[in-house]
Amino acid sequence: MPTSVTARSARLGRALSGPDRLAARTRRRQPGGRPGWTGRPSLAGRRVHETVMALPGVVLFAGLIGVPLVLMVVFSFTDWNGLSGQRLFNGVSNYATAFRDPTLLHAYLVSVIIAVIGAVLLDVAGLALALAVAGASRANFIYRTVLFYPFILSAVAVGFLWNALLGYSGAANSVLHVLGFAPVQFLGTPALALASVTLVSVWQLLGFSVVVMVAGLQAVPGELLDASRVDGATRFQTFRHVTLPMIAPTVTFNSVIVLVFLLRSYDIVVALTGGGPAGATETVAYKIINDGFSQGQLGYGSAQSVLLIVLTALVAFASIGLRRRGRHAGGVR
Amino acid sequence: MDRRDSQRRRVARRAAPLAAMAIAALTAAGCSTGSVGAGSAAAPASAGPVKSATIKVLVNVTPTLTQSFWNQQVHLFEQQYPQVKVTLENQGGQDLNSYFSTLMSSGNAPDVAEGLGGISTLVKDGVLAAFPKESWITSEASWQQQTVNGGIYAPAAGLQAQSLVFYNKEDFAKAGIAAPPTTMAELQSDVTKLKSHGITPFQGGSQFVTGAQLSSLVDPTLFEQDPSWFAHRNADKVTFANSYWKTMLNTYQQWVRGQDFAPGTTSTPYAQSETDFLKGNAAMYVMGSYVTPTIDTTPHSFTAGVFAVPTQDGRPALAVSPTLSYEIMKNSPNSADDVAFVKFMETDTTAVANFLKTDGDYSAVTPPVTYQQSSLSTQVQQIVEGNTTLTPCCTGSGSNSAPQDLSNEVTTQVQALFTGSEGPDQIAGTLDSWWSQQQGGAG
Repeated sequence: MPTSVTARSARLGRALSGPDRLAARTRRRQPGGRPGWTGRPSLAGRRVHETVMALPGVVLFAGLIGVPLVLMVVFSFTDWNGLSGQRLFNGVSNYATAFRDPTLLHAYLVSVIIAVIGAVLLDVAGLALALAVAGASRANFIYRTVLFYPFILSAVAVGFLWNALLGYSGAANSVLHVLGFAPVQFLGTPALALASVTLVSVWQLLGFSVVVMVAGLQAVPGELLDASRVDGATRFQTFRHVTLPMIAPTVTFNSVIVLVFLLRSYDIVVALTGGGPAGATETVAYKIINDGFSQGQLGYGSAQSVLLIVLTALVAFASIGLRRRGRHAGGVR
Repeated sequence: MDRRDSQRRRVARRAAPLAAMAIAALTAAGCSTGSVGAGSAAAPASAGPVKSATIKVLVNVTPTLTQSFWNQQVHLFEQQYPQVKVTLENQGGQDLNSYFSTLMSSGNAPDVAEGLGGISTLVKDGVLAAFPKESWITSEASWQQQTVNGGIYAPAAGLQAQSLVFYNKEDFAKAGIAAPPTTMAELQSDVTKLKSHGITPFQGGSQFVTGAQLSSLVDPTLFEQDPSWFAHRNADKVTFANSYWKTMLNTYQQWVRGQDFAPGTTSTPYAQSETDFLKGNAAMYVMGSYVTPTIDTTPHSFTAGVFAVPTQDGRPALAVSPTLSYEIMKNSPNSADDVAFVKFMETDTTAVANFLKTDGDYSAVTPPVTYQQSSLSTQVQQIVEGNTTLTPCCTGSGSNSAPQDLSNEVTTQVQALFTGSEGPDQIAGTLDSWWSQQQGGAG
């Protein structure tokens, strides 16, 4: 005798909701159904089912992320040069070297400058542009597509493109020449080269930030905005006191993601400046690749990678933590 | 960024102690090459019969040696060996040796590679297979200098001149310079004359060009005075600070401060620096012979000439490096096919001539492979043939080797000279520290 849905649910310690109950009834009444099959698997069965369904993803994650991560940590304690079969354990020697390496410290400084300035610019510019193109018109759809386009381009291609534009004999200086200005070494002086790398990175990621911000803006309930207007708020007041708090989690998400993107800047640096001039734009990722593969110090490069991952995780968790604290303090949901 | 930058230097890094690289190999006269002796060479790659297989070849794609060029070269091979299929792989946007290291560490090694640097390190790490000592290799002028522990790992059928100065003949005439300089003092005098006539003396460039130009100015004198300078530096008998490096760094700083380089040096990539020189931006362009095809094929409004980088005391010397060389991986399952491929690429007259002409190189086999040369290319060959001292360049080879990444480090340091953040003393000191760190460096 099949048990009723209600009785079985009670045994499971919970009641089915209306739609669940309806679905269960429907399955039970289907012709040809297995005798005694109530249409709802046991908890154990569901767990097996969920595990099986998740397995491909877990295997992919373990294979593509987990295994390389573990190997990287293992290599970071060796003197492997990436070529020979010999990998001698050298303890924390690579980490000790990293903490004494002034060029690595400089690379961190460069990466942090690019990441922090870039993230702020992307938040501000991304939100501003999102406000402009958030509407549902066809024109806004086209604008969003155009803005997103650089994000799907190869970073190397972006770097080469901007190298052609910002090089000493590039298009930018040709325009300046026509306007009667002296040429500028956009990529030839340390400060300007760093600024160029930052702005080009921002240019490439801007489309991503805009799309994220548009999604956040579109999720703001229209009733809240309507209520704000009915209460006599100006557009700025509505934005400041309704829209901005509502999209704060989106801004946090955007900040964290672009921070992580920018902290691992490599391709654009290679194609735009080659880390120069005089190492002024060498980021941590650039140094990792350079030390690991060009200089045959894969163990040391791995140690630097571990440190970068730790830093990136700290930045991400700190950002999210600060956001949560702010949310609780401000009462924003 | 132009990808010719570091790749070119990688080609250059396959440097050998080339004093013994017979000049006669560049002419029909030739010279006999001795035997390898009773060396303890590693077991050579099989030179047995070619079988049906696919081999993966890593090539160095540059603005002149394009993917299309390599496809044509492979097509020539596959016509002769239809049972062997060649899959080409190139370094993409990366430095060739770095990309090779990536492939090796990820277990995706190619079967054959073209133009790798750091051969002695690769041999030490057990990566490369030795070639069988066959006549096609022993007809190459530099084969004995290329051996490591008695094994032949990177036979080279070509030669690339590195320490050359291409110049604008009209600018020189305008400045009253009757003949190219042969000493550094004469070069300095010519720089002054050019400037006094409102002509910018040097065309510089960013990325690899910055370091390569200084190295080209240093190498002939440095190695003419001490052919084993790298070995002596490894033994701490010499330093950058007390060598011709420091002398040249001082001269360079003087030129930088005097604005003797065309403006924008540190933001002008290699290809653009070629273009700027050909537009007449500056009178001289320090570069290797690989720039010759570009000068020949790019319209320019002046007559281009070429001379060897002057030495300090005027004794003729020219820094050269082997080229058109291939390496075979020890773990390749198709060694017979690999050897057949390399042998074809280094002996087939059409394939060799294609390479030499496209890359601006010269045959280093006896008898030499010839091709239709331009006037400028012929001038370079005459310089090579006229120099009794051919020196190593770049990072040397064998026991006379620099750490693999010296070229990049020199570039970084010389750029600091241009940005004014460091002076010659600091740079020489940094290079010495860097060298020591590389010798005992981090794992």
